Amino acid sequence: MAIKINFDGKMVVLENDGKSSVMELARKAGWHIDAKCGGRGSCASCNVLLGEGCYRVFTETIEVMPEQRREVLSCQTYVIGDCAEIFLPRSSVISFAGARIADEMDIPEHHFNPKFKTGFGVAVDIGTTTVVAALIDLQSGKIMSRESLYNQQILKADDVVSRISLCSIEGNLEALQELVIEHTLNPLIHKLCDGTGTDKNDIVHVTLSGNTVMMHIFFGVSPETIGVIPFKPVSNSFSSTARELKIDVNPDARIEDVPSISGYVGGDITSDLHVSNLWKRDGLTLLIDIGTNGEMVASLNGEMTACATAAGPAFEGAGLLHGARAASRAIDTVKYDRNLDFELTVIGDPSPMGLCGSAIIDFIADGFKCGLINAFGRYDVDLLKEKDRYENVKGMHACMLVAAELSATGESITVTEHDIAEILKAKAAIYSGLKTLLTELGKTVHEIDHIILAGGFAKHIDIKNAITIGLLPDVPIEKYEVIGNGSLAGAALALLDQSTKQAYLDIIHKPKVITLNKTAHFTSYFQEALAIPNLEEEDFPSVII
Amino acid sequence: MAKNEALYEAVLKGKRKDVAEIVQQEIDGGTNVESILMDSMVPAMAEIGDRFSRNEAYVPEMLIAARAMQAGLDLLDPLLQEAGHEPIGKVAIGTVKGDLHDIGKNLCAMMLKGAGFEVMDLGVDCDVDKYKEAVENGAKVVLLSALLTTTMPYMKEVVKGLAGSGAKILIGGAPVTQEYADEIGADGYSDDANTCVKATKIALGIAA
Ligand code: B12
Ligand code: FES
Repeated sequence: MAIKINFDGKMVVLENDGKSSVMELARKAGWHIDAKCGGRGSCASCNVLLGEGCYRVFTETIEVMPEQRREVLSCQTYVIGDCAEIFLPRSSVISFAGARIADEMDIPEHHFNPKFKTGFGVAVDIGTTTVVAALIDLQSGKIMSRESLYNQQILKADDVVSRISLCSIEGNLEALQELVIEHTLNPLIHKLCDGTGTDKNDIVHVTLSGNTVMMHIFFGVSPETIGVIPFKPVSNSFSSTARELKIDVNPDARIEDVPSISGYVGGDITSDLHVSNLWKRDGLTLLIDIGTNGEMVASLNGEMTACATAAGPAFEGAGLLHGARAASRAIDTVKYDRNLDFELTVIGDPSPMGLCGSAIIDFIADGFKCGLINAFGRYDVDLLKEKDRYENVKGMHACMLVAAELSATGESITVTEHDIAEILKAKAAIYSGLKTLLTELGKTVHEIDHIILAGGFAKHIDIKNAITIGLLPDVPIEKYEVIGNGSLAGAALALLDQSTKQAYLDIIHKPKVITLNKTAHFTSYFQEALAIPNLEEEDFPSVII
Repeated sequence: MAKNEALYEAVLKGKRKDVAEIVQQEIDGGTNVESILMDSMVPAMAEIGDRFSRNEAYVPEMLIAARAMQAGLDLLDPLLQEAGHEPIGKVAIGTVKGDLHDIGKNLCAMMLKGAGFEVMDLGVDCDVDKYKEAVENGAKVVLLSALLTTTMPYMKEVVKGLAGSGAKILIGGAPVTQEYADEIGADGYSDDANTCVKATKIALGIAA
């Protein structure tokens, strides 16, 4: 007898080692369970179904009879004895297939003056979720190839703060470091070398750009101080050698980062600032990274002010009943009117399993415009019922977008009012952060001359819809500019021109970083921004007609 | 005074300016201040709370209503104190050390006030001593809030620090769970501002 783990029509049989949680057993079977909270038992992203067997869930012992199923948190469940059967739902398993990753970059004009004149360099964008690497010929400056992979640290925890928390437990810092180097960067380097016929020993320089926590962990320095007041990093910049960090390139290769601005405004933003030349522009320009940390910088005739607004991962689909990462089988756009005939597009495979962030924005925007969704994010239930779109999910009103028989999961795909509320909180954090920055500068949203959107997500959203829901300011669409992966471009520039390093060290002292809690307005702006598009209707003249 | 429908609706719909205006009119018109609070505003917050527990309202709506309620309370508070309004119990609430998130905590404080408690708001970044001081000043229930997985462990320190003080400890905040409350020996947990009121009443033995 043994433990049988089932997923997607396949079964793997394992022995019980007595100390692995069900989540760990599933990993051994080759399936990665989503652990958004890092296995602390507080997020329920790791749900699985237990079949016949005896288990310990938290501190309780339970027995599941044949034919019965019990839904539990896999991170808090252990098998007792050596006979059990476990079923993994699709929504709990991380799929690495078909992920949409921002790997295009626009490298601005620069002097070609690399530190190392021969051999190759690798520029890397280390994101919390994805890592993108580019191989560059240092003799010609040519970009040979680009590759990307999920940051394998997501197997331990989703967001940066959960990873910081993990580091307070012995052994986890090393484990996270190994996941990003041995299991993410090294495979990327192998792919780059194999694809171009490059000898890895010819790689002499590696530059990295990413948020401050990612950089600490990469260089093996505990980020714990960034997790508590006053959120100070151990250092703004790190460097080392490939030998020291066990990176699979020439052992003497230099490994350097793009320096960070503060604990929550990292080197990725330094890169964005450099690549977009933000502070060299006239007037009032904003740079926004619509992501989990919601970093943003405002420049008023070259004077920069920055903040981070902690929007959370809702735009990546986290915390939503049928939320999905922007990867294969995710619905990525939605369009409809009062007839509720949803026109959907799906990434890759035609049968969808959930909605990614760009689709949720579309859904709320069109819903608001046609009257399905009111300013507080609540449905017109009568309309849903009339059009046969109504579902009641765990006591919540929900709108059915895809019927069970058409979805990949065999369950209908719905958006609940609770999902909408989660998105409203995330968009409120972004909008109120930027409004607070402007207030600090004595400006209003209507005085913005230019908005630069950075980060992978921005490339895929419908900006008009983002304005309709009140995520982005209501300024003419021509004022928006979307830059590609500025973080990767910033790392590449550090390889191509050795004077870039000094430019970075200068930039990081330029922005004045403000702590939003300490401002007089943030909380009030946040609450106003919870409505669609906003309780301050004057902010959204084109939406409120 | 009977219920002022316009005021009740204004709180429910989160119309802050209307709330302030109507409350001011009532005060100027000589209406009993306690009645303005208890007959129109508190029922409105209670209704929002009920809708919340029936999954008919969510956090954004609740926050918007609370903000309108606060606009009215700002006008009423000084007058209520003069009038010697009798609270049903004295409690303290604060966000733990290292954490500055207070929107959820304020919402809980508001619902508790709405339910008739005297609430000592200890603010954010509270260390053990701050909670101890609140107990010395008469708080029978101490409520701890934490929004960060990095600050949640501090709740354990507070539970230890207040052991033997006689005060009950309730904990809450997005990453906190019932299991965590059991693990650190807190007296209770609840996941939202509405059930927070119930949990507080249970802790004080005024509701089953
Ligand atoms: C607004 C916000 C902020 C504001 C806070 C403003 C303020 N004055 O509070 C600002 C921008 C300043 C901020 C800063 C930070 N934040 Co923040 N923030 C949020 C956000 C968007 C919403 C939180 C909120 O107010 N929710 C609404 C309220 C009503 O809900 P609630 O607090 O959960 O409260 C309810 C219940 O929990 C319960 N409850 C709460 N307390 C209590 C107490 C008791 C006793 C009881 C019974 C019940 C109870 O009742 C409430 C009502 O139902 C969340 C993300 C999100 N989308 O949720 C991140 C989030 C909480 N922040 C986060 C982070 C990381 C930070 C920062 C560290 C970093 C950063 N990037 O800036 C800083 C740290 C500041 C600090 N030391 O506290 C993370 C935490 C991740 C983690 N794993 O811990 C989150 C989850 C976002 C994310 N995933 O990245 N943040
Ligand atoms: S509950 Fe979050 S990983 Fe299990």
